[in-house]
Amino acid sequence: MRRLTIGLATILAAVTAAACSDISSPIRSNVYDWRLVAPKQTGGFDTLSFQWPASNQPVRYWVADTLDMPARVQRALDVWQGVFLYREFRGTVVADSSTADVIVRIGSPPASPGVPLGAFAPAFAAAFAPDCRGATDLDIRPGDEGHLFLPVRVYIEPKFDGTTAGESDCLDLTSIHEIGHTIGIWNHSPDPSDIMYGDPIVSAPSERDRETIERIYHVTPNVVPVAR
Amino acid sequence: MPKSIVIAALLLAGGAAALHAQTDYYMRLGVTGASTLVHDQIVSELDARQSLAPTLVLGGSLRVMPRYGLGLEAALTSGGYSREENGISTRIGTLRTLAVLLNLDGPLFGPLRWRAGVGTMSYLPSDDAGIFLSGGTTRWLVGAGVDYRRRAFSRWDLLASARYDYHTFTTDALRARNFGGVQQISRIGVSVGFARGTR
Repeated sequence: MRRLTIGLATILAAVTAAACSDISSPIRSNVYDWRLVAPKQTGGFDTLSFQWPASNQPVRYWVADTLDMPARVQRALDVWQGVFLYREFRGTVVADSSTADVIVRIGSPPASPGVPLGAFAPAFAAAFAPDCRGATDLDIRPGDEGHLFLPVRVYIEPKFDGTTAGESDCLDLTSIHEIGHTIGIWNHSPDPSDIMYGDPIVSAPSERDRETIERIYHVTPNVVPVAR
Repeated sequence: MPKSIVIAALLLAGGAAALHAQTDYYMRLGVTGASTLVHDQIVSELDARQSLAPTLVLGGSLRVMPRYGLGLEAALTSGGYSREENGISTRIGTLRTLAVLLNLDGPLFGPLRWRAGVGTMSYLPSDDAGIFLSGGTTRWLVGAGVDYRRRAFSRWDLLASARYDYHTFTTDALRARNFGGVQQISRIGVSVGFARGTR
């Protein structure tokens, strides 16, 4: 039996020694510039990077209850949350707009928003006119570029009544795109294969979108959210 | 769970009924610590780590020779896991694990007995998210440990145990994100409880 004991100990040691290398993480270098270049009051420009701090999460989204938008925004949140390996971002749809960090409405943005982002007109087929458009309004004030005043406002505008197949797809795609802006991608990708391209034609985040948002949540931001 | 372990469990249960006098049962409560779950580098290095986890151990063993036993042990842990980066730890979820080990035990010296075996380790995350986006995972496991046992009551003994086990870890979500290889994970657990049966 002593042999059996020695044998077991040998097997245990051999198995332990056999796996001598740890997991290797992928190289994540495929990113585009996500930062917002904003004019400074004193002249010149500032480059702004933002992430939702853990203390503000889950980020609360209020969504106008029409055209199935709450479900579309929830799906968009699920898509972006699925990008993160370490749960760096979490968002949730809430019923009370007064407590929301992000307000999503149907319609066009007001005439003079803060810093308009993401206005685009996706088209699924060249033969058709754009089915919808979206915009994200960030309230960053000249001279106070280090603060994002909440709530962030998102506007999604169907061209017709929002019920056609093309429009429904467009609302889904636009929701993902605009939610991408709200979580920190404050710029557009130059590549049409990315959901954050200015005039997106894909329906989900690409590997480059994923690597970009991952990077955002692992660099030090220079903009923090504050309640209005 | 592999068929072999299910069969062993059934044999043990069946054997326990037939050979009650030669069967040991035990239950212990304790704590388990594990090494890094995933080591990664996005901008700077980061680790996903499990917290020290309360542990419930249930087991039984059947004497197959005068001094040696064949047993089955299940250890359930429940704790948090967190992301640690630049000295900051952020809890990211709840993680339960279930280790099932088919093992042999034998005398060491005095009131000490050794135990060693093979089995499976299942990760049971509370949410399908992050590194567990595609759900939990089950891995092969090897383990060993030492039991200290002394008489406490007429039919029950006090049992204190130390365990070490080793397995490798990855998930479908990590593979889908081009992680190569596997993370080696060592765990150490200590626990106390009661045993009943052969002495």
